[in-house]
Amino acid sequence: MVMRMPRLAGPRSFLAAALLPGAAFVWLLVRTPAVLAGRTDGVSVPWAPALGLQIDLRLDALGLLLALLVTGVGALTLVYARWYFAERADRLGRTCAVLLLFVTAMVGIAVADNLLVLYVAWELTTVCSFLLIADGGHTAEARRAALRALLATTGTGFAMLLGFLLLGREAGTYRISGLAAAEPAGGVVTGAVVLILVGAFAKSAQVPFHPWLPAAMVAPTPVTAYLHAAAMVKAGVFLVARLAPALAETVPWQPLVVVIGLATMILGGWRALGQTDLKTLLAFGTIAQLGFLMVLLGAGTRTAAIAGGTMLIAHALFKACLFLVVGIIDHSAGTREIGELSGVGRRSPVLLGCAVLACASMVGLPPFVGYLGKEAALEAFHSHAWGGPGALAGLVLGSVLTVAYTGRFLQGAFAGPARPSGEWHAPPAGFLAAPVVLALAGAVIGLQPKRLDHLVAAHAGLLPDPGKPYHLALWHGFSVVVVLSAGTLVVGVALFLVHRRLAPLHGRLAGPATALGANDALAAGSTRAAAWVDAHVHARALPDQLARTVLAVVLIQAVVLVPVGIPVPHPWDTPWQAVVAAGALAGTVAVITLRRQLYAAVVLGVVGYLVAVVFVLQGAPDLALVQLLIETLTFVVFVLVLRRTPRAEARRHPHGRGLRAAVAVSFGLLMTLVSLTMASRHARSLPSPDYLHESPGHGGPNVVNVIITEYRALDTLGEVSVLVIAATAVAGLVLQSTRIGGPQAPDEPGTQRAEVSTRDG
Amino acid sequence: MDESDHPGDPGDPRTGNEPLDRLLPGAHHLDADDRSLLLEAFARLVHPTALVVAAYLFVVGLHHPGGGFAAGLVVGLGLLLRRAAGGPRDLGAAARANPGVLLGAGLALAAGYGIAGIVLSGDLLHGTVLHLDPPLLPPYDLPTSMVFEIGILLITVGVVLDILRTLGAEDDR
Repeated sequence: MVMRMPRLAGPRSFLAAALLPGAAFVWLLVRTPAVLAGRTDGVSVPWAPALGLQIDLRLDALGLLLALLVTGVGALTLVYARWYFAERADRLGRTCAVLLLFVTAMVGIAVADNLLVLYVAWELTTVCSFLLIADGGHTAEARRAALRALLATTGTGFAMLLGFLLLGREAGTYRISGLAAAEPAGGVVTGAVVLILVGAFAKSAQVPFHPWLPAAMVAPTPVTAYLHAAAMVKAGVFLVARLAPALAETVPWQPLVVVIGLATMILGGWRALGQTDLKTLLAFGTIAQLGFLMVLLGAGTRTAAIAGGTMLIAHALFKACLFLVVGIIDHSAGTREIGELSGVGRRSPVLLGCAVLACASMVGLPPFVGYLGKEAALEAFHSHAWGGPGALAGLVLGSVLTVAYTGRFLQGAFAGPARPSGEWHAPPAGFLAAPVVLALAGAVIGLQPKRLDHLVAAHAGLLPDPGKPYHLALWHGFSVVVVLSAGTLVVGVALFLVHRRLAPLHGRLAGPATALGANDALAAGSTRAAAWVDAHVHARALPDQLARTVLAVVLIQAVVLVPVGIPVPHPWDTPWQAVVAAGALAGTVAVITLRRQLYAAVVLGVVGYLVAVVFVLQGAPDLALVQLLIETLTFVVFVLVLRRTPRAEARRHPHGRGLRAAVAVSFGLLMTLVSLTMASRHARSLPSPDYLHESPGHGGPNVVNVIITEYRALDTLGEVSVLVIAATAVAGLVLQSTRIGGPQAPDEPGTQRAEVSTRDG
Repeated sequence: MDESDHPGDPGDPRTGNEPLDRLLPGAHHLDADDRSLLLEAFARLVHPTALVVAAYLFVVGLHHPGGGFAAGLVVGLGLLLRRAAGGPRDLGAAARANPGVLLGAGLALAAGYGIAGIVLSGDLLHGTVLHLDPPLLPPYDLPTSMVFEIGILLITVGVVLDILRTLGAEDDR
């Protein structure tokens, strides 16, 4: 349905798609008072009862927070996408469907109350992001970036799964809501915590897994806005927040989370300051903010969690808004390079207004949400959270960098005179709607600190509170925090003013800090390894390939069958069988000796018919019928193909004839052995009496057919699916080479890739 | 699937509308050397017959050898004959359906039947036997697994058609 819509309605169908997350958002808002009052909704659906697996879903305060962000920003992004993609016609249905699936998976992460369910939703977001970043895989850059994101997040996702399994076994439950009560502890839990945090760090682009995120900027802007602001990258910090009540006290948790988070925040901020592409600048800004969130949500105190929840909302609002603004600039000016942009602010005051509001929230100016979050964060580390003054200093440094790169963003995007020569298409009003809503939301929510406090404190209450209870407010009275906050702004602005002089320093520091090289080396290494395996296992020519496959089958089967012993064959039931078998044997000899392929094919067909006769004599008409039909079909297809094949090729193999014969003979012997072993089994298979007994009432007197379509229907379905896949794949391969002229077409991605892998091998 | 009443292609300017074109609609695209009147006439006669045989095999499959797979193979044989006698264009005229659509529809039908079993009775691929008692006709037991069989039939035809189309791809150019 979704896949179909865009073809009918074009980009406008994004608006229809937006209804879905929009409706979910409204529903969540309606549920909010009940959830905050402590009435959590939960369902538990049996999934694989034999394994004790259950789909446990539960809507609590933290899940509600993420689900609201994911559906709200999701709906706005889809509305925005309608204009962003207005001029594009292809692959819209795909993008639209994957985005919706993505929203669903993220909501799944938010409401999962079972570690394994969470993992499934988690990996679903990974797959969706791969598809969205690759965007059809039409450019090499997009493919590379998608692969990078996939490698960084799935590899560590496996580590996380292992961590989940260890944790669940140690705690005796996979229910997240039950973990805190179980209080898991011990060496195994320590290992589990490290593994889980690795997964969370990679998903949230923490050091040293961060490089995939800026690379993923090749994706269309609505996708990046959604992936990197509201949704997927939030999954990591969300997981940390989710598990903090149960695990924050476990040994390596706090040091790991705080140190990695701060390192990410500072590195991201520093790298953002050196970018010239607006989108990449924002991406590094996102990395910095994710580090900030990681520190806050993982620190394990109530105040820090309040700050974290507030920043979670703030970041989703301002960063999504900024990404969307950059998308509009990109669309309207045709570039997002800082050096090429000039006068955007004069041309579109609305856009400038949105960006200023969002940036004000980002640097933490009152009365925006970002301000509330930053004050709470400073308060948390000023008083009691892990790390104390050291962590506080890190946060302040990170915030200074935030102020500086925010200045660079605003100046780079909007400053300068409006050049008459500069290209500029005024964006339509609808295009601006989503960023305007997001920018205003940042201010409006910031003016409601009490309600916001109510929302984020519900989850934060699960964590210990060493000091006096903190509540969000626009003014807490004069304290060290206010001084720090004001100081941060002043130093940040100063840094912005001098940052151009730091440019040489930037070049030098940025080099070793990026782990992009390591990541790419991993990707290239696995491709090379695959090419090596391919070169050593796969033969180039089809006959060699077949010989190897057959030889492998013979060796493996022989290991199993030969120790069983060779059974004495029962000669025949009727003498006719001997006659037919003799005919088939003679035919086989003829096939081998005939020089003309066409004749060989004819005789091969005859052998096939004789086998069908054997089936008839044995009392298996169903089998015989199918054998006859298949034999006829393959025979005629054979003839059709042979008409086109160069005549002598297949028979002209000067070397390796002896080896071939050996392989063929051993395969024949093996098959004989298999048949004899099967035939000498006298015990009836267990279910057969039941089949015979039950079948007349169950579909028809033809037992064979009843077995195929009733008792073993699942097998049939599986086989048929394989058939469909094989047919599609083979047709695709053959058509590719015949339709497009095979190797002569250099632009064809398939042939190019094949060439590359050959060279690598 | 059979296009016997179809007027056929408007005709190739080189050959014009020869009477023989009515035998197999796409055959006149072949080189004259590749054509065989005997084979074309045979295909013209046998293809509809094959369809009838396929229908017979399908229906009779409950009680005797046959069923969706065998019926699909016979349909495929008919198409194969058309391909052999009339070339790829004639195959196109004989079966306009896209093999991908046939495969997809068949798989959807078979899998949908399986899922319907879950929805209706809680078991995957669960079927029952419908006892039909139509007026004027004798009562008849129809197992719901017929739906599954139709899926298999479509897939089999789809696979054969896919192979035949693929073989014909180079001739089309």
